[in-house]
Amino acid sequence: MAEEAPVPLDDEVDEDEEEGRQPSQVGPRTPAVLFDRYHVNADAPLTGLDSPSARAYAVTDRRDPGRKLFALVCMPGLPTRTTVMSILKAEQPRGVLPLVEWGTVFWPPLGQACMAVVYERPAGGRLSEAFAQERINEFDVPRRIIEPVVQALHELSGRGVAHRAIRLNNLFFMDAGRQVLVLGDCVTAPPGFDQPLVYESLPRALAAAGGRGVGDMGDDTYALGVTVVSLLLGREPAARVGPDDLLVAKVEQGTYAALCGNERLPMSMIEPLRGLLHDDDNERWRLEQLDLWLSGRRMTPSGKRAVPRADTPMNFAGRNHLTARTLAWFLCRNVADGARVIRGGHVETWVRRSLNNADLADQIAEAVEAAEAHENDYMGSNDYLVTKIAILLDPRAPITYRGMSFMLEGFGAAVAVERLRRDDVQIPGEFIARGFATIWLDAQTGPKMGFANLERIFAQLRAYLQIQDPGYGIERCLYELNPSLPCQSPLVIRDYVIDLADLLPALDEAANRVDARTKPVDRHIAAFIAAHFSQDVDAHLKAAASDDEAESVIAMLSLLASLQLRYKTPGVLGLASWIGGLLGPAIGTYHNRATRREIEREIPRLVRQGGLTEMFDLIENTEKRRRDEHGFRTAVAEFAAADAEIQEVESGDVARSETGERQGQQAAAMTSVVIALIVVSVVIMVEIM
Amino acid sequence: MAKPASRQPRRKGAAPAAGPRRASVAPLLLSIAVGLMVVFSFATVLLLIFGMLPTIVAFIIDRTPSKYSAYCVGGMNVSGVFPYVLELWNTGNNFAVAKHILTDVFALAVMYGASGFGWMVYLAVPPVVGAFLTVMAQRRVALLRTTQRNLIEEWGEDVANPMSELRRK
Repeated sequence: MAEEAPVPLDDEVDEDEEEGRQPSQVGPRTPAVLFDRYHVNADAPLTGLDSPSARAYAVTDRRDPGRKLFALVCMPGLPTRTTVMSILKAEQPRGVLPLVEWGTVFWPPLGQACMAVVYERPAGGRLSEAFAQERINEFDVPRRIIEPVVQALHELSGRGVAHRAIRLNNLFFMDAGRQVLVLGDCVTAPPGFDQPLVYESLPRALAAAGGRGVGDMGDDTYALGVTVVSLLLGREPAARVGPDDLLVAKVEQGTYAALCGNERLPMSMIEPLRGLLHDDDNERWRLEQLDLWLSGRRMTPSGKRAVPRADTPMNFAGRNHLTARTLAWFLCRNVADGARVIRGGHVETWVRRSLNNADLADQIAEAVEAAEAHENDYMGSNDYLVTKIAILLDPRAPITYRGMSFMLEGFGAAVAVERLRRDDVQIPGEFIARGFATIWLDAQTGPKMGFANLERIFAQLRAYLQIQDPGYGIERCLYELNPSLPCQSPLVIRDYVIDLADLLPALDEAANRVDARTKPVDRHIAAFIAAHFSQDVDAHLKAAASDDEAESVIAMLSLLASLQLRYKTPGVLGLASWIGGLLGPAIGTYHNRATRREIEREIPRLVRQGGLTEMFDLIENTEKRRRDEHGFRTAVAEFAAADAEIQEVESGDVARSETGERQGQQAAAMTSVVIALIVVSVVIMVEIM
Repeated sequence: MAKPASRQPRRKGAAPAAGPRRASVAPLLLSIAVGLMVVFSFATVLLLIFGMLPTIVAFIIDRTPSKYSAYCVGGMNVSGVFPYVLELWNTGNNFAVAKHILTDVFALAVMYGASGFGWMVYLAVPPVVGAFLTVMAQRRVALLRTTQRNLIEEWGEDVANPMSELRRK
């Protein structure tokens, strides 16, 4: 299995680059401050408390300087278990390393914000260190190890949490006398991500580290079983066996036989270990059986195999496969060869004759025929065919598609890890679009608890993927699947924004360092908002995707103003100035020049206040918009009327000349008649007088 | 009950009953009046016929229905003739006085000069009125163009070409 290489957490960054962004916190080796109380000192690493995905540093509590604390600073880009963090902090379950505080903190060595989880420092160190030199007494195991872990798991189980990080080096003694055992960190990485292969139960162990899924109590008791074996042996079992061989041995022989078969273990521990390491999830011991065993009741675990064995092996990829599970796994890892043997009918024949499963053989034959019928599209591709056949061969196993392997419930974390490793989400996108989730769900037999929810989620993801506008696509899938994943936009990635309330302050900071022509809402930010905002923002997103620059900018402003209103974010001067500079086309949507000038005069004042809501009201005032539209229509009509009158006047020269002549003649006639009347009257009057 | 004959529709194109009667009465009345005037005031008629000759000519040569030239010339002609008609009536209204007036070059010059002035008015006034109307129209066009310029200044070029605005939307 390919394990992900952790990203170093103490890389030096260019000091100049840091300057000016967060003056209060920036500077090499300046303590990072969490909630103005916990100083995480980058100069004081506590390597003994590191976890595989997070590094430990000393913490000083400002209010209680004598308190012994440490912080695990998480790997940026890796989703963390924030929901579990909230539960652990709020409820402080017994038997679990006390989580004091968690949150994002600016981490000077990386020059960006990171998730930091503050724990109480365990005075007794790790369990693995305590028993590094000597083996634990077999009689101490139930009371000193199993019982406190079982109590801790009871506490977690009551809160609906699976720990998923129980291993030898993740158990700590809280006291210097090494009597109080607690479970270590489980929140700084996706569930099961930090677990060595040997601690993961089947079939989760077949998935890549990021895709092992949330799991349940059965996975924790399995890990407890492996931990106990490690303690009893004084080393991790099968440490010298390669990962492939270990997994094949687990599948073909069963975990107990693979890990303990050749070891000398105390007789008293064989029974619980057989129960804890059972590969059948339904037969594996859980807390109830452990409680009974701890109270002295003896039980015999069943010897039922988890997967059926074939009569004769099938040779593929240099191995003889006795189970469909290992064959499916190797087919997915050798796609070209796998497709060849599948298309050649070898797999179908082996399933029919050696596994004696005619129904499955018929399904395989049908899938091969379908692939041949669709040889010109993706359904005929080797990748599609091999993944589909692997699902049919081992429906409970993780899905492997183009090298990406994950449990369906762990798809979200797998996508995030895939993006972190390759900066590419094409394969997850293809997985969703090609309906593998439906194929997997259809192939499941037995109890289908929770499958309806998975079906609904993947149907929704396909719908998101079909829309290419900002706020949808694979980015939306990423954030819907990983609520704790920080926003991956290049604009705010350094600020580790996992809470929507922190987005505007982060964009406000970003305003100082990005090109002013860049839009403040890119695909990642749009998707992050859409996935986290409680209000329906579909209309905003649709408008933001418009080709019309003005409409797009107004929609962006509206979206960000909604956030400011919802989270009561104080003035964001930088962001307001940034958006103000982009509002040109939006102002241009007003026809009236005086209105435009008035808006242009008002914007600088609103920028100084940092109010996006006020800015939106200024730009998109309904009454103002209505008046502008009405005035424009009136003006158009007035202009057209004037135009028509001018045309009429200019085209009426001849008619006007005729009219003028006629009116002149009338005037002349009238004048003449009037003169005549006057003359006659005057003459008569003269005669009379 | 009306008689059947009275219920017959009037023929298409036939003039109303009162029309021909009015048209035939006016010339008849005029003829009777002229006849009576010839009988009782021959000298006045003679003076009017010769004095008003320009008006009669104008009436005949003006083919327009409104006969503005006849009114124009006639008005002035009356102004020239009426003092002599009054003189005729004051001196007995006899043929000798009428003959004296009609053979007086000055009297003829006054009567015909007045009608000539009427012709001059008729010819001079229409171009002046036409020019006045043209100036008024040009002034109106200038006013409308100013209004359009103001609209463009206030609302932008789109106000002159709303289709481009619609296309953009």
